[in-house]
Amino acid sequence: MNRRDLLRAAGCASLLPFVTTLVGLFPRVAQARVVAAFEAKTAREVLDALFGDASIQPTDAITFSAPDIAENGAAVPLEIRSTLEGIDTLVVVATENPRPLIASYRFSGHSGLPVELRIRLAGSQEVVLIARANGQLYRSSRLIQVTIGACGVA
Amino acid sequence: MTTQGIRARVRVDARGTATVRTLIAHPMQPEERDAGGVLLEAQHIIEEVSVTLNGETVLTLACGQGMSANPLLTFALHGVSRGDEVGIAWRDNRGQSDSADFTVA
Repeated sequence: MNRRDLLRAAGCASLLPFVTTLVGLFPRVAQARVVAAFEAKTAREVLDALFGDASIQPTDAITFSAPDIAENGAAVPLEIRSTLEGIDTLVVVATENPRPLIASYRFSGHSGLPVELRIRLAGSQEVVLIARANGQLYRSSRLIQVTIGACGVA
Repeated sequence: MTTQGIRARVRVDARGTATVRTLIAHPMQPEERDAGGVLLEAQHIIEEVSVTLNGETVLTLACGQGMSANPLLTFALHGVSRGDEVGIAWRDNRGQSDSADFTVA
């Protein structure tokens, strides 16, 4: 390493705390895709990566229809509705999948629920929805039984 | 790329709320390993779907490997009129992408 490289490296390093501070100012889920959350291997790690230690309230205001018993874990249909106003974020987590985070929606005022999607479930498990409305996080969950899991790979 | 891989149907009601139902052709291959941890199939998944209304981004959906193959997605758009353009685009973790525009009938 010559002198110029050394100076450049030192310059970048000195910027790091500044950049980290900037990132910390914004809710982490505001990034388009939070890689650490999608690579997390437990639901706990997913929530930590997305929301830190923000408190999450249980709610009945988010409902999802899904089969109580899904024949095929490769494509389990979910339909998600809510009576909450102003939802800007919706996250779908399959707690027992090897990679629990399935989807993270970011809505503008021009888009929103209801949404439908099809998910892979590695086996019978609790599926958790987290929504953010007016800065508050809400949680709703449901147990879905799966007859044939998605080969343990979802 | 061609738009063969994205199909969509947009239905708008009298209050200007559109229900968009889209089908995206993609394998959404999860990572597969054998019992010893040896990689059998590498991950090949859509990482992000974005939706525009008349060119403005109104919805982004970040995806993980738990999304089923050939994602079938339904969502609502507000303030939609006939003649508006709904754009749907995706990119995956191998740098492939596709997009298509649909005019609200």
